[in-house]
Amino acid sequence: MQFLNSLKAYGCNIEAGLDRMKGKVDFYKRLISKFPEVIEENEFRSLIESNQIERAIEKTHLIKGVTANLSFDSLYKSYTKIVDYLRQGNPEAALKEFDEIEGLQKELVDFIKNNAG
Amino acid sequence: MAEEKKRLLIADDSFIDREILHHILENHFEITDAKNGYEALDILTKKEVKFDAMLLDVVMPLIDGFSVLQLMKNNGLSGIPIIMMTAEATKENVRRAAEYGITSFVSKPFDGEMVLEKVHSLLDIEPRNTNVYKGPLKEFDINDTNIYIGRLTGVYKDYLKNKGVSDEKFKRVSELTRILMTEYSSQFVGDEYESAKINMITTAAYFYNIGYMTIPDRCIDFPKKNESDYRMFQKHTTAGAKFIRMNTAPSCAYFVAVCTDICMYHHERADGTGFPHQLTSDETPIHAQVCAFATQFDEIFCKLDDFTRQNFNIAISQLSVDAGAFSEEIYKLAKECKGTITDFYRNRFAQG
Repeated sequence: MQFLNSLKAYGCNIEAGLDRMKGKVDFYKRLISKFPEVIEENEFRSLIESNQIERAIEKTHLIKGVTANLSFDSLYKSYTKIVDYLRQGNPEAALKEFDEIEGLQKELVDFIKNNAG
Repeated sequence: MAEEKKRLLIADDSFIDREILHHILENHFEITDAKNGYEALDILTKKEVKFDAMLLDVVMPLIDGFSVLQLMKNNGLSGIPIIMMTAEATKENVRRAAEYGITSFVSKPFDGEMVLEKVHSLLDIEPRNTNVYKGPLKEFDINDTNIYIGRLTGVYKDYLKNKGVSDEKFKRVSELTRILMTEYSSQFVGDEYESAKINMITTAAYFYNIGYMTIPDRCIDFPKKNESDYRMFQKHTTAGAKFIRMNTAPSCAYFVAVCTDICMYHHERADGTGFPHQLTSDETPIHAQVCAFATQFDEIFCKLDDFTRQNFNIAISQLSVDAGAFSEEIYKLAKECKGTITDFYRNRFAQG
């Protein structure tokens, strides 16, 4: 539980997440431990810089869904905006939004990698 | 003996989302995963497993959920009930899904109880028990069924009377179904459509729209005011079937089965673009196809000034304009009954 409680500092709504997993702490932790893979397999910045907008929409949409299901609320809010900006044909705004959460995302990924066990 | 679990196919590119769905559903269903749309199509094409339903993500890499639906349709794989999964149940998504007859969505993030409820609701109607159609009907069963039909007719007539609706059209559809099924059975070797069964199918056709009893009047009127009313209108098929299925008496099993088919499938189309399950003519029971044809033919034929053979041909031509609605087999059957059908309408209307 200590691991999960620590995630609150990264804008994760652990209560809502656990509620979704019917209180199963181990199951929730197992899913969270997969989150770094989701992020690393879906490198956003390079897709925008190489103008692969459709791919970027697919990837960010996937991350948006995952963050929603894991109740990573802060990231979910930002990825919702990023997907919307991309769909509106505004990759610059999407990238700006990404700049604002990239640090938080990296810290969260590192924390999970080091502590999820 | 434990009841066999129903089988679900989940197509979602997110491992985490698939895991959560497993967590929600695995105690209730047998689950197969597809990591993307192509994998889902591959699994469906192999037909190694018959799935009872599919949960399909809208946004996926390589091929999105709507393209999967189109390819399923193109390849005759449309029979399976589908729930679309999306973080964005936008009007556009709802409209596009409705084009494929899909009205069920679950939103992300998943609400476990909601997902379970949606899947259960989608599978509410039991799969067809094909054994029911086999073998001759027993006299006791026929008598018992007729008692039930009498009660059902009373309930339905009361409903129609309260709504100020005449049941003339339902009677004509019923008789037209008898004419067509009798012709069909004359070409059929075996006992599949003995006269007692044709009588039951004829009666069942009278109730094809009994599901209207369960939906608001505004959803019955044409044209529909909005998408929501249209979706509700579509539900009269499954609701009618569910209503008929409430009778679980073994003696009534044949009537219940054919009447369920007729209520459920009379809006299906030969090309698999109808609703609620997008069945093709190969997948829709012949009695449901015949009843569907009877409803459409009656609508057109009754608007013509006289029930001549020439007007019969005009009615058939008008129906044929909607390519894909009915199979060639149905048109052939109707043409073989041209004389009987025109005589029936002339007599019916001569009687006033």
